[in-house]
Amino acid sequence: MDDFLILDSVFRHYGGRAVVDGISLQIQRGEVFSLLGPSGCGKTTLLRMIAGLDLPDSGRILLQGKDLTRTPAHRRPVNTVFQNYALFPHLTVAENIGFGLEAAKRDKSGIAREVTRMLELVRLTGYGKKRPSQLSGGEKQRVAIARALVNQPQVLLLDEPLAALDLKLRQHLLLELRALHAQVDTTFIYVTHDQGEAMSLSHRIAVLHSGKVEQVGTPREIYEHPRTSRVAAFIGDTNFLPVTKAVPGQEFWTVQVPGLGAFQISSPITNPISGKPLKISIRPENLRLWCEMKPPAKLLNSFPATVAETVYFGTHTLCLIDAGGHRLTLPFPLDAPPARKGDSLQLVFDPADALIFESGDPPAPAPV
Amino acid sequence: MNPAVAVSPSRSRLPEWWLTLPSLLWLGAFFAIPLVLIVVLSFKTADLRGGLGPGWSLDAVRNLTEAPYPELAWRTFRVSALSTVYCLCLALPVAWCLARATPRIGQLLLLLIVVPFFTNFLIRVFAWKSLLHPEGPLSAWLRNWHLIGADTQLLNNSGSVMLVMVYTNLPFAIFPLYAATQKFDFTLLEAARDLGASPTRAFFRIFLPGIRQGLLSAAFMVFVCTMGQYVVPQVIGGTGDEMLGAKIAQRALNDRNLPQACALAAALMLAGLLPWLVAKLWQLSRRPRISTVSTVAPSTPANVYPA
Repeated sequence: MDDFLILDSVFRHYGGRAVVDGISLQIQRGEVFSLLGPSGCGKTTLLRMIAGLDLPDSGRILLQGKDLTRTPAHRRPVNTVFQNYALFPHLTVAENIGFGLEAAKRDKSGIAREVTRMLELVRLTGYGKKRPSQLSGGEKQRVAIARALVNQPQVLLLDEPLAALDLKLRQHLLLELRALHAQVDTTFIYVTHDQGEAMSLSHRIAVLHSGKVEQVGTPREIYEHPRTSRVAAFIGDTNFLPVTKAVPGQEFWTVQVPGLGAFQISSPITNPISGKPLKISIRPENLRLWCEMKPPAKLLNSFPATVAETVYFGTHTLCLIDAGGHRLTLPFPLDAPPARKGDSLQLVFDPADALIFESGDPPAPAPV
Repeated sequence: MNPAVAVSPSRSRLPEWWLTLPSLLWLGAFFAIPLVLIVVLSFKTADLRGGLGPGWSLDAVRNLTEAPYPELAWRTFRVSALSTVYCLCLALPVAWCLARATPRIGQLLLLLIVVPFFTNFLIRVFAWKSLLHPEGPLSAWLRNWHLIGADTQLLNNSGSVMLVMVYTNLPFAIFPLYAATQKFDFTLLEAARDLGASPTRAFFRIFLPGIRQGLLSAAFMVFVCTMGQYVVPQVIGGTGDEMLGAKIAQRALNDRNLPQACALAAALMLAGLLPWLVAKLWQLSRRPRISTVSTVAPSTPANVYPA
C-alpha cells in the first residue's frame, strides 16, 4: 500500500445511471496522471469526488493511507483548477490567490508574501490589484492555478483547464504546466477529453469510457498497445478492417479481410479470441505506399486501393481511400507524389503494426 | 488588457438621449412635477376650508421638529429598518431554494409566492386582523394549547404590526434576491470550499458579496415601502404604533392641512432617499477605478507567447 492516492472501486449513480461504475486507480506521488475520455465518461465526476465536491455511493478514496471518502471538501489537502476558472469576481487577483491562506487563518504578512511568490511562479507579477474581469483567458487560467497551488496541496486537480482557450495558447500553457509541475512538489490529476493534451503532459493516462477504466498506462503503452479497439480509436486515429476468419499460427496469424484477401499479422501478446467477430486496427501512419524501386526487406502485407478524397493540411495531405469496399485514411507526406482523386495505389503494412481486437465494442467517436 | 475597455462610450450617448425623450416626458409629468409640488406646497399657508392660504410660511416645516413628529419619525425609521432586516433574513433562504430548485419546481414555488398578492392588499390586512383577533381562530387555538395566557393580545401591538409589515413586504425582498441568486455562479461556492473555506465562510465571503446588488435593491424596496406604510399600523397596530404615513393621511384628509401634510411627506421622502444615497456611495467605493488599469503594466504579447 505504498501508493499515494488510491481509488478503491468507486461508484456514483445519477438518476439510476452509473456515471462512475466501479473505478479503481492507484496514483503515485509526484505523478501527472490524466483521466482521458469522451464527455460523459465520468472523468469530471471522479475528479469532483477526489476534491470532495461530490460523494461516492460506495467505494473508498485514500490519500497516503488515510481514508478521505467522507472528509468535507474544505478539510482535504486537495485543490482544484476549475474548467471555467471560478475566480471570485468581487475580489482582486491577489485576494483570489490569498483566499485559501486566509481561510487557513494565516497572518497577513505571510499571505502577502505567499501571494507575491505565486504571482511570480505563474508570471503575473504586478497583476495583484486587477479584477478577474480585466484579465484575458490565459491570465485567468494562471490565476486559477496560482490560487489552487497556494495552499501547497498534496494533489492538484485540473478539470479541463485549457478547454476554453484557443489552440496556440493551449499549446503554450501546456508547456507551462509541465514546467510548473517540475517546480512544485505536487501530484497532478488532469482531466481532459483531448488526447493530445493527455499524451504530451502525463506520466500515465487512464482511458475512461462509460464510467469504467478501459486502460491505464504510459502514453506510449496506450498508443502502441491499446487493449481495446475503443482505446485504439480514441487515442490517435486508426483504421479498422473487419475479419471473417483468423487462423492462429506460430509467429503470424493469417486473417481474412473481406474484399482484400488474406493478411499476415503478428500474433497478439494476449489472446483475445473467444469465438467473437474480430477486426484489425492499423494506424494511418503505418500504411505506406508501395514503391517498386525498393524491394521489402521483410514480409509485408499489400493491397490495392483508390483515392476517394484528399484533404490538404499543410504538413501533409490526408487521403480518404477505398480498399475493397472499406474506407481508410492515410496521411500523404508532402514529398510524396501528389495524390489525386481516382488514383490507384498499392499500399503495404508491416505485420507487427496491425493489432487484432474483438469487434464487440464499437469504436468510440473520435474527438473533434 | 484590451485598451478599448478604457475608452469612454460617451460619444454614442447623444442619440440614446433622444430615444428616452417620451419616457422622460411621461416621468416628468406624472412623477417629477408632483414631487416638486409637494416640496413647494410645504411652504404655503393653510386656509380654514382645507385649501391653500395666500402667501408663504415656514410654519409647516418648523412644526416638524415639534411633538409628536420626532417621536413618530424615530418609530417609523425603527420599524422600517427592523422589518427590512427581517424581510432579508426570511427572503434569502427562499431565494436560495428558488434558484437551486429545478426550473419546473422553481416556477411553481414562484407562483405560490405571487398568488396571495392577487388579492386586494386591504383584504389581506383585514384577514390578518381577524386571524389575530382575540376572538379569532389563532388566539383560540393557542389558548387551548396553553401556548399563550388567557389575556395575551395578539392584535394591536407593535409585534403584530411588524408581523404584518414583514408579510406585506416579503415579496419585494424575495424577487430582487431571487433574480440575483439565479445569476450567481454556484461553482464559486464550490471553489471556496475547495480552497478550504468552511460553508459559513464561503457564504459570507463569496455568496453575500456575489448577490450584493440584489441585497441592496431588496433592502431599498422594503425600507421605502415600510416608511410610507399607514394602513397596517392603523388596522393592526395599537395606539402606540402610529407611523408617519398615518399622520400624513390624517393631516391631509381629516385636518385638511395640506401644507403640513406636504412638509411631512417631503421630509419622509428625503429620509427614504438617505439609505439609497448611502448604498450608491458604498457601490462607488467598491467599484474598481478604471485608473488602476493604466497603473499596471499592460501584458505584452511576449508574456503570452514567449519568443
